[in-house]
Amino acid sequence: MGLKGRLMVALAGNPNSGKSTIFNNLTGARQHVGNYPGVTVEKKEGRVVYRDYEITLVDLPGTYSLSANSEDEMVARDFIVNEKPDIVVHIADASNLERNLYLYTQLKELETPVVLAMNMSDIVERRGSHIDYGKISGLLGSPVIPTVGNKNRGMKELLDCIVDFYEGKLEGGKTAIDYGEEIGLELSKLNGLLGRSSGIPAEYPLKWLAVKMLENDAWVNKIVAQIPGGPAILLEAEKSRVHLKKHFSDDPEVIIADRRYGFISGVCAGAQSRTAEERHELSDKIDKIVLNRFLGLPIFAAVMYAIFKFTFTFSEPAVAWLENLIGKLGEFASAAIPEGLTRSFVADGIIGGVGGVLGFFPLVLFMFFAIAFFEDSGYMARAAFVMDRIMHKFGLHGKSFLPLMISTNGCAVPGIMASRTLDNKRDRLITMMVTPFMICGAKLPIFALFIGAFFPSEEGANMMFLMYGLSVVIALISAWALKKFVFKGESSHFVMELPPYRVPTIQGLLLKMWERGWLYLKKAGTIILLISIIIWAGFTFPEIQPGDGMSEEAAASAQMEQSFAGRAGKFVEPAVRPLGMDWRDGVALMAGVAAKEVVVSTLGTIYSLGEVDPEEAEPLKAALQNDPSWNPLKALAFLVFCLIYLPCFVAMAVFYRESGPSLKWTLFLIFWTTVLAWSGAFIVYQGGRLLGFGG
Amino acid sequence: MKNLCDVRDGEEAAVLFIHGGRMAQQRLVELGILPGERVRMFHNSGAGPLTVRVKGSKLSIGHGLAQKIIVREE
Repeated sequence: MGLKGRLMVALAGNPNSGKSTIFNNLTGARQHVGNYPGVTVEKKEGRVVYRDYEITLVDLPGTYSLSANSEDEMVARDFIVNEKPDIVVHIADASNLERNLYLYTQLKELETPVVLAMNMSDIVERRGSHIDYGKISGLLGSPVIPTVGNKNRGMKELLDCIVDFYEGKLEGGKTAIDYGEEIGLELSKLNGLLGRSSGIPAEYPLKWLAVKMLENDAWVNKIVAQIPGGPAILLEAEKSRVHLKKHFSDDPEVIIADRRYGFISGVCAGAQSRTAEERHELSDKIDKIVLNRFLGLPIFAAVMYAIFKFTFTFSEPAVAWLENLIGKLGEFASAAIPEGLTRSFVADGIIGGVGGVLGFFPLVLFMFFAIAFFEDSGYMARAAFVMDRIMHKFGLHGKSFLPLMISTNGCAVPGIMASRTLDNKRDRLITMMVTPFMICGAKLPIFALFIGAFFPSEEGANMMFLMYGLSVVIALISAWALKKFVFKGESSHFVMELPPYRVPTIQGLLLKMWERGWLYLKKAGTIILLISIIIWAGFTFPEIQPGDGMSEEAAASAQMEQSFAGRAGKFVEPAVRPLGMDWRDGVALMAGVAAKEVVVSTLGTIYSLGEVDPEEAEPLKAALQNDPSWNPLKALAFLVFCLIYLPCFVAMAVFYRESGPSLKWTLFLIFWTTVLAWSGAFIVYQGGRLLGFGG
Repeated sequence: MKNLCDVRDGEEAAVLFIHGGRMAQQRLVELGILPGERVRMFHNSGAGPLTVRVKGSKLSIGHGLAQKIIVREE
């Protein structure tokens, strides 16, 4: 059956409007959805074939407007203006209609064909309120479909509506927002001037340009300045602004916003019955406690602690079982394959390397589950609120908390991208600079390994909690120092929505846990595997001939020391000596820059290679415990170093791109994290020795 | 003149004007805080950010920004 055509459909909407859920429902795509602002930071694409149309769905970042004050709004606006999607589906939270429709007015000003999905329509009904969808569609001048994203309701209707609208079976009208006589007059004046000038790129509707010029939109002003006669038009626009400001004694942009809201209230009054004033009684009760000045922080700390306690306590048996299984697999491989390069490749390179990372899979799953619960419930935005006061003291604000949180146990890459929701470039750079300090999902195995090996299990969860605390402290102090010495100036303003609490669905949590868990597995099976093989080869070649009378063990360690990797380790050894580390640890740390899990896999390979008798092969944890060079103090110094030092390659590349791209700030990041990591580990190790700890 | 920080829990106030830069103003406007709008204080501890209810949603606003929102109490 042939396709009738291809459609490009963009999804736009406020944060928390359930946009990503609908995107997932429509495309079946596996992607991350969270009940906090700023989840979709990069546009995501998915495809669906419906009624013989191939529909490409693009999920735009959640924004409240298209004024392009921050990076994510810019992404959304640029896409709509430049890519000209066939239809924009505006997903509005029907239970919070007025605020959600503000974006709609801006979409219509852009003269894009809009289909409105009124999401969470069940909440409206439950509240005893009623929306006349037919009427609201007429008043707004766009087709309207009620949906319930989290129950997968209204999706077929939405797709039908998209196709019908595209085929012209449904009418969409022009929404005439009445800006009032005074503004209308200035608008038509500017509109006329723009109409007479040539060279305006066709993708910009004239009326929209005129409105934006009255709003003094920097981006539009720049466009107009470049067309022939543009500067003269801008001058006229400035005159209009001055005139309007005198007339209304307020900025034109405020008056225009007021008129948009006026239009919206008119629509809502005509199509929405309000039988009950909207209340979120339970949400309010929880917030009274959670946001309390004195209780807020202890509650936040308790929630975090509960997450770690839950993760470590419940995952422990599963981790032990899996480690044991991987150990058995190693023994089996050693027994089945005759001695030689192949056996070493399989047992030491692959099982020794990747096995160490895979062993922590259950722990990672539990952690993802706990974090997903925390995100989906809506507590995340509250945590940002509670943290704002502390963040403020260190030159950041509550919104910077979200990138840090996304990075914690997740990944610094989306964390760095989430900093796009910050308005101010300085705030953004500082936030991006400290985001990689968080303990991400890839660093987690390193911490789990060493804490498991050197701190008795009752202390394990506490120690882990302490390390997370340390990562936050280091991030805050760095932010403070950066603010004080590098990025001076006022930080931008903190304003954020607190969405109503929602009870996370088990399917939602499991899906999210599995999506992230699957990424972890995939990474272990691809990148980590590849690097493990390279590391193994680095230690195995060039092969040296054991000297006469050398014991097998001495030969094995001589081989490692004189291999390529060994020589590289010996080269950096003087630098890490003062931190209590030797050349082997140096190799693991260097390799870890490729991806942080590799620190664990490299140590796995090293200890596996050093073990001559395959019968004696022991899990990495036991190997570390039995190695005299390791003790709790050295482990702590090593962890501090891992906590702070260089982000992985991918994170650095994203940092480079998002910072400008700026080579200067990327080099600064490298320098800063290296110096800080070395100093931190030095203080811990040498300080600990002075106090009489360690060997 | 009163600003938003002076409004106690449960009290209602009408926004008179926003005494801030363009960016701050626009951020607030798109979230529903603009001259003439009535807001109800949900939580104001006197220090740090506060939470108000406006246009059916709950917003948390940093202390510095809240000081720039001039209001008239009702």
